Amino acid sequence: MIVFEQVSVVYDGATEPVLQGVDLTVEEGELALVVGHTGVGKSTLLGAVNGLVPHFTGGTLYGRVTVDGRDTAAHPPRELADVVGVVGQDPLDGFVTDTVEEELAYAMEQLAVAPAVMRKRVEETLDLLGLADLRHRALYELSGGQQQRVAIGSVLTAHPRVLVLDEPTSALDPTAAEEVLSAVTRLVHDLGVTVLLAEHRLERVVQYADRVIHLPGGGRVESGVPAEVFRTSAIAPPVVELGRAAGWEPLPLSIRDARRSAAPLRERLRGAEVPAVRPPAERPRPVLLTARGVSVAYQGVPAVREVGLELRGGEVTALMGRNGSGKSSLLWALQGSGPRRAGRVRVVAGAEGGTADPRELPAAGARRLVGLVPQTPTDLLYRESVKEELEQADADAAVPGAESGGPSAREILDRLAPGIPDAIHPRDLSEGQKLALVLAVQLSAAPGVLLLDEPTRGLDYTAKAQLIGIVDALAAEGRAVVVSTHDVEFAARAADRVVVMAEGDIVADGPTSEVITASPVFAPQVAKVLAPLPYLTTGQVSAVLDGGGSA
Amino acid sequence: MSRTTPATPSTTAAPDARGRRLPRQLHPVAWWIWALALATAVSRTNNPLLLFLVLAVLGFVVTARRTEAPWARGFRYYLWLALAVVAVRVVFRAVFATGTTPTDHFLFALPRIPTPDWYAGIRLGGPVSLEALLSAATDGLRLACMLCCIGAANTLANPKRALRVLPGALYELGVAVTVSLSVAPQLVQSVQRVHRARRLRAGRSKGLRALRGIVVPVLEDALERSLRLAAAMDSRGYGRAGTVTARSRRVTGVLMLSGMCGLCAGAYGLLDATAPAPLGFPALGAGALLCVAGLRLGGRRVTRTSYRPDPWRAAEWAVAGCGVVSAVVLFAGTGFDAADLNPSIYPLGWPALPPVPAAAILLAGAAGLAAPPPRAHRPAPVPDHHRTTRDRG
Amino acid sequence: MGSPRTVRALARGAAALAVTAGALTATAAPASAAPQPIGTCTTSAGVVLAVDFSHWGGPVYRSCGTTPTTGFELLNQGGWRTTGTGHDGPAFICRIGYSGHQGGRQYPTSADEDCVLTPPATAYWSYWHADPGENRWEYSRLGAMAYRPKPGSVDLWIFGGTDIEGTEGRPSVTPDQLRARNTRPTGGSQPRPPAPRPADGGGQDQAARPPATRTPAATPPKKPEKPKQPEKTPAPTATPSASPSASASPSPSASVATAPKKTPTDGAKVVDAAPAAEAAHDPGSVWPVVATAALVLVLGGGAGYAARRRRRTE
Repeated sequence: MIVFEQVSVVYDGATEPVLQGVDLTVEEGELALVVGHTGVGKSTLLGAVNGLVPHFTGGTLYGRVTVDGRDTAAHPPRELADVVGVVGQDPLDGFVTDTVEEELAYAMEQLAVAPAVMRKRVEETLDLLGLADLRHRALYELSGGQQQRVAIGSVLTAHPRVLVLDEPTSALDPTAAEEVLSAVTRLVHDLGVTVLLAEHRLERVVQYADRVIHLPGGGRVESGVPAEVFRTSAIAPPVVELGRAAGWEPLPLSIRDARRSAAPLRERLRGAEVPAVRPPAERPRPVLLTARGVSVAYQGVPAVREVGLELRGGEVTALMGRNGSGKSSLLWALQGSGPRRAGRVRVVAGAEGGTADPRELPAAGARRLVGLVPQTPTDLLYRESVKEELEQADADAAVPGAESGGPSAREILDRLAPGIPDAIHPRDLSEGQKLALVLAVQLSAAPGVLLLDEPTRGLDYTAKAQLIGIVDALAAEGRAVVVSTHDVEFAARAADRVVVMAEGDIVADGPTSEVITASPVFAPQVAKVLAPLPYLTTGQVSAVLDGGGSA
Repeated sequence: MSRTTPATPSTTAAPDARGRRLPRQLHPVAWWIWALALATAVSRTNNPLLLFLVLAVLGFVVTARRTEAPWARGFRYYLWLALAVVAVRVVFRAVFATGTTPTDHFLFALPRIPTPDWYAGIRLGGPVSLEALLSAATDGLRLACMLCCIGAANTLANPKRALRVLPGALYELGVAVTVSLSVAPQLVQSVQRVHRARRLRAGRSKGLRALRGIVVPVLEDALERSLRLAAAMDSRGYGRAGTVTARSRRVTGVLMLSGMCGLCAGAYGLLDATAPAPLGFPALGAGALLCVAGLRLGGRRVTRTSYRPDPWRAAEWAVAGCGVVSAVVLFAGTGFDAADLNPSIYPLGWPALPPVPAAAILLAGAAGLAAPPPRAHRPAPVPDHHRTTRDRG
Repeated sequence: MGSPRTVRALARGAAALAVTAGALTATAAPASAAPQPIGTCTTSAGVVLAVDFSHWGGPVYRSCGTTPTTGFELLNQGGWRTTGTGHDGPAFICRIGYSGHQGGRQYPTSADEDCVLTPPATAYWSYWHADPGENRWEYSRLGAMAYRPKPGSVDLWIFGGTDIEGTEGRPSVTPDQLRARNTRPTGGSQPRPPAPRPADGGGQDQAARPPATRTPAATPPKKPEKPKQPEKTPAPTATPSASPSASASPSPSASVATAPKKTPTDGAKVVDAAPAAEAAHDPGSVWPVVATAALVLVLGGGAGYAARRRRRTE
């Protein structure tokens, strides 16, 4: 169906090709999963399928890409619209019309499908994706999962033979992501559509994949059966890592497979003492921030209801919950920059133990107490180079009249993410590097409390591992760190404590191991496989296995 | 020409069991014709009674026939805007005093600000009379009425849907308008988000540099977003080439360009009395012909169908007709004294209500009855979770 | 719906309406101009005002006014009346009428020009001056309210296509055909002593101030840029003569009939217009307003009914 023959792609001005000598065949009806770190060329590979690369992006493509027998060199994306459907990361970016029904019909209108056929296909697609109730609704009123389903439906109506999905769930919460991915797998099984899917949350899709296309870097591409590719790939979901650590054969890809092979392992682990994911507190952690009765409302609609929270120095707290459960509003209210209808926030200011409310301080004072990295970190970046951003940060952080005592922003950045050159434009950094840069900017004010709003969105496994290291280091410096996230695996590995919000209330607050294993939705894969044993990460299991082996 | 085949009429205007017509959406162009015609009629009169009558008619039709769609909830904003227009007009008239006549009814005096001699034409401050304010208010009211006409059209018909009836050759133009319409609110959101985020960084820069802290991220955001939209539209088949040769494209271009020139020259000839006579109607006609030819030829390259095209039936004729009749009556000026359309304020007198124009405006209001009722609003199921990834709340 | 806010808004609206209605029903105060019979204008005193109605087949009227004055005041006294535009206010002369001509009908009529926006450059009243002794028309650079004619000068209004530079569509009559040639007041007489003018009486303020409130308090007292001109009563005061009681004349047409004094011209005939009374003004009836209010209420009721029914069906 999709054939790459000796494909190399070089972008204008780049010295290294993004893809080099790629030979790849995806058969009809396959679900091919594209995995790889950020920046190894996943998007280029996907874009080459419908000719967006190089027709739209520029650059040069050597070799030959054919889809359903059509050469992309001779067919620009619009001429391939009846064969390839493309769905991007943020569905709202691709919507052309207002309502669900019109959006579904848009591609067909462009393809000059007869009106009677259009009408029928729209009805079918509405049913297929469970959108029938939403047909007259405005697109922007829908939830993220519904929007992404509409985006998928809007390319499906053209009856493409190939569906290309570039990280369709990266902007969604777990429930919405589940909704979208189950729709995709259903399409594969019911319609036999060939699907090319790039996805960071491997744990959700790996079990459905017929083929894994792994981009290890350097422009190379490996393709094969999932169990084979994941044996060696640097990127793997926790269940695969667990299988590797336990030496299971064949490598399990789903919780179900893993649980069937896991009985001996559970037996072996039963007696062992469970090592802590995170080092326990050596000394009592001081309370740095106390919030009482914090409420936030937008135009009378409550977003946060009378929340009380204490944050301790050296503790990493994961703030979890659905989209719209009030996580962001709470973080902004705690920092003092967002609206707060009621309640009080006291933050320890200075070594003497005096407290202050960040909202009553000027912005510069508030950020010395509580630093916040917003959901779109790039909103804070506006200079032309990394060097300028860092110098600006130092200038902003300097207390007028006082000797600057803390480390410079550059030093902080080098500690968080070494090797970011001065001259580069901040927009050209990878997502993880941008996050590190904004963190460095915010840390230059040396806040005791640091709030990160959804930093894991769009990060791959490596970047997440780096983020865990950064968060660890910040906590080790005695700061209180709050990370709002949808990512259970990340919370399991990075957080000491998990706070779950729903409808503006805190519904659960406790140590990670207790909160996270309490519900099947929130449990990480390792916990699901090894339940009832209280293991959360592969690291814990390997530690026991290694320890047991040497003892 | 786009190959637009009307769908089989699935919904007719036939009465249902309870004697009420089946709800359906009126063709957006019918509403636009109605509203523009009414606005044209309004442009003819300065009579506050007629203007208030127009406002009442607009209010009635909008309440009776609007849907529950997002764009249909905005009429009250147009009313506020209208009020603001009147207020601004009155304040300006009071401040930029245009003088009072000896018989004016004096209300109050504003301090006069001396202006230099070379600026003698414009005076600031001075006595303000009731006549001046009333004349400013009726003048503002007329403008406000026209605004409300446009507002009513926007409320009653989806503007984006109205753009779909553009001829095939102008399809790109329609899409550009559609996209820019949707970009504007996103830009506002971006600005709000970045502005809020700025406090986090507590930059001390003021003025231009602070502006840069907002403008740069917002513009970069908008640029990236529009690039993604362009890519999405491209991959969904937007702008697929039909059977078109380079030659026919050139011919289309030449036809359109010369047609436009003809239209411009014709309009100039008609509006400027000093222009030579052959420049008027002949140039206008030739220009229109060339444009139509260009549109037809250009439309041939667009192969596109339209989903559920709005039918044009008796109700559409009736609504558009109601509006056009009111405009024609007010412009024809027969059956009533033209002076009644612009009652005098100097000297002050009660305005008359000329019966024929009033009846014409009431007839425009009959569009509210002629149009079929809008589709009943089904209470939307509450989304399982409110989406916040965009507003980043 | 019946919130106190609505009630307050209604009350305010009613109050505004009451003020307007009061103004409408109040009897109009007499004009405060100082019109003069044409004979009182001399080569060095008074201003001759001429208006050319030849566009509608009428004559060129000329009359006389005292100085200091403004072009606007001159045009709104002694039976003369102007209408401004809705857009620019009274300062823009859109229509001119004289109670002695066609019963005070103002030209252009509302059928020709609605006087809502600024009229087109091809059909408007253009304003010309001729200084004392000059036989050349000068296109006015100032509006009627801003221009102060010199004693002994001539003001002319013509209708037609004068371009904004004043180079085309010049008047067909000459200043000499219109201006007073007598050095002393003759013929006509002083109807009454000039209206008492305050010492600071810039003509503009005079025009601006409504008659009913002509108290010092209503006038901004300090006008540094205006020279305190001593009351410049024209010479005619010295030679009072029988008043034709034009100001009291109930029939303006009669006053024209008694005062015509043909002057030989090449184009339109020049007719002297004696000071005349205001043309009768009918303030109209309040019933159309009531009828409109009723119609608006009916439509509002219809809208309310539609809204209620919509809410019910939901």
